[in-house]
Amino acid sequence: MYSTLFAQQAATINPWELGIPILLGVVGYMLAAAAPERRQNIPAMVCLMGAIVAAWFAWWQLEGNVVEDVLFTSFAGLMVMAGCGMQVETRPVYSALWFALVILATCGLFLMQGAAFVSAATIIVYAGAIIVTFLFVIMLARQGGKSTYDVQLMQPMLAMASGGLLLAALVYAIQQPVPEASNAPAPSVNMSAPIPEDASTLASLGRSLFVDHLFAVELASVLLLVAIFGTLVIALQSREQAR
Amino acid sequence: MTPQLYNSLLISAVLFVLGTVGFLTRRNLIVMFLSAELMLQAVALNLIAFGRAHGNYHGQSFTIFVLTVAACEAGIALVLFLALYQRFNSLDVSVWHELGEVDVPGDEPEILAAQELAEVEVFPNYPELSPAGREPALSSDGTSFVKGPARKDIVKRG
Repeated sequence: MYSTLFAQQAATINPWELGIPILLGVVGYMLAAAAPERRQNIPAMVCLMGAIVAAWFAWWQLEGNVVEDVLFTSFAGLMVMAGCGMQVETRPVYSALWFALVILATCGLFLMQGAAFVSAATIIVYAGAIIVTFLFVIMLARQGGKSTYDVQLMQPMLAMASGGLLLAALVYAIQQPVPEASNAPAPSVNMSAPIPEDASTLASLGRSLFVDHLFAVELASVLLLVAIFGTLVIALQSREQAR
Repeated sequence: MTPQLYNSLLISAVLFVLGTVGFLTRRNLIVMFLSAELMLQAVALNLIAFGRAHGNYHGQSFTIFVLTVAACEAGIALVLFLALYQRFNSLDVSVWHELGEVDVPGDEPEILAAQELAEVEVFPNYPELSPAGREPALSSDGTSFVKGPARKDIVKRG
């Protein structure tokens, strides 16, 4: 595997192209997440924006279809910006709202890749249920003023270094040319049941779920049931202990 | 590799790294959990992009399972956070720093020092966890465990 990867490695990857967006992003994050008395918001914003723009210039590929390109790029940009905002924000309520924005942008990307049902389900489950419960918990656990643990980060230098390395490795791996699939079997369109050509997305997805992954569906339902019981047990126990 | 697949992989790599960094650095339990969810979303995006590239629905099915697991996780995590909050009135993850085996010495002195500096006034009482990892003493006839007083050999830390 490694030998094929490195044998085919074309010298197309400029280290500056790989490094500059990541460096800018790391610097921007460090500026934004520094200790509160040394925090600099404007340079941090500039650096993060510069990282996004540099990444767009260095890494992004356009498809040629204007509408799709514009939509995809804007969803992706929105997602990355909201993700940065979530990690930089010190108030947990706003973090949760940024997270909801990330989810919405991701759902836009899902929709553009022909996953309409998954997109709607994600919006309902995440933005509708999880975020609302989170806000509920945050408001239950409300503290007077800002708490130290929201402002102080744990080992930001090490985390940023490892995050930057991880991102560099991932982008490097993604930019490698795909090895020729010489003797690999052709990807099967479906494991068992053929999908009729005129079937809608939802019908095909249902067929895939309940024909190919039936056991997993049953397993998931058991998992949900166990999770409900676990939640109830923990809640009742903690209430008894608090008494 | 089509540009759309390539871009999706790229964007999900960025999202995953953002989630990782948040999980490593943030100290609020809720924000840490949201960062973990961010990583799950990145994986879901990858799955959908690959499913699209292969022209089948397995990616979308997997994403639905990811969604299911995330929902279970959220329920359990939230009720745990509430229980923890009721005990110490804080959502700080380093309050639970000492959660562990009694025999293993505590590590990361700088974190402990920083915590002592920063939060002496916020948390006047440090956590007193019941120690884990020891076998409870058996009663004399060997049929049941002794509760309470037999465990006084355990030294309270901190």
